[in-house]
Amino acid sequence: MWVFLATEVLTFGGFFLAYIVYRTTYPEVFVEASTHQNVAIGAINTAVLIFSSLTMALAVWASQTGKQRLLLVSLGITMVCAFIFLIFKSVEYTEHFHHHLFPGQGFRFEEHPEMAGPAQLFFLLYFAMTGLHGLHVAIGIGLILYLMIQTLRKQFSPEYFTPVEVTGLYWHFVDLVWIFLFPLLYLIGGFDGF
Amino acid sequence: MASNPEQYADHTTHHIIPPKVYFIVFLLLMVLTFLTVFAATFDLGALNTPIALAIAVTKASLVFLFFMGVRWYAPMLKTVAIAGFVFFGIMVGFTMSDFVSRDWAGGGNVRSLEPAGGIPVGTDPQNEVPEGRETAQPAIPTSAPDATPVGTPAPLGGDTTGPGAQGTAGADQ
Repeated sequence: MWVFLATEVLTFGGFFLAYIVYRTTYPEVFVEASTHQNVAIGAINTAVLIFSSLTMALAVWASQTGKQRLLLVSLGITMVCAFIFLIFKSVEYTEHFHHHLFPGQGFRFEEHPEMAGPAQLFFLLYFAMTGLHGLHVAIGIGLILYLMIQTLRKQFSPEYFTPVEVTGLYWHFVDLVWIFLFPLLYLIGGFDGF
Repeated sequence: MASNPEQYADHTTHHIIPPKVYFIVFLLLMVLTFLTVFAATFDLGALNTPIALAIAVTKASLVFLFFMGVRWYAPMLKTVAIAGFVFFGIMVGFTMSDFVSRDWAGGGNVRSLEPAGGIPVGTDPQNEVPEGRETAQPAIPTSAPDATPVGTPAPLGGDTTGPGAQGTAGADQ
């Protein structure tokens, strides 16, 4: 699993590298573009993912100690959190489409038209990185569903819980990626919501 | 992903992490999340991103060490777990050492074709390069921008501060 996660680190790493290169090239445009993000939703989603990591960790503990009901409930809560995350993400994407912030023909950057090119690059990276991350969340939902079915079929015990443990590692990794995406894509432009 | 229960039961390195640890780490992560959003309400100039990243690295370390349990792994598995991040560091390190230093040799970038000795190595490229390039060789750059710098031979008679030296310096990195 850790070898797979290492490939995942480098999959996302490619995008992070692209972000670093273009942020170095257009520092002030990236800061300006990130002010178009909804920091409140981003922060709530961060909390949702961290909470889901907690419930996933509890699921692993439940499977190790043979607590079948706690295992099922923890997995269920984790899955609900994953759905909440994706719902918030789709709300954000909808907002961005309405504000013409999706890269392409319809892209508008009204307050600073001169920044439109590099700003488009920021949103390209934003959609690519959060899109790839969202895909991982969606895959995670599928894995958790599988674990719940297997739990109901009494497949896990303190002697055998590898699938739960491995899915747990995957899920924590998804959380870990978001921990970096949130400040880099949402917070660099500052926040005046309090 | 071993699917053989008996094989798995042979693992002796396993450590069951008590839920108390998970709850403490969760609370720390929430506090740090609040802290990073709170820090973003202040404009600290150049420190904004370093502070946000420092908090992110702290949070990621907590997830990595405690939620993922790497802290209790055997040394071999620890090495494997860290490997991906190390290689990411190498990728970023080498790329950025090239990307950031392209302007340093005074040539603007490795594609420029200034005459030898036009701009001494080591001066600040941000201000001096554009004028130097335009006044020195106004005609040539139009054909130059897409040329591949790697392996471009130095012009005849160019000395070590000339474009040939810059070209190889860039290629080496």
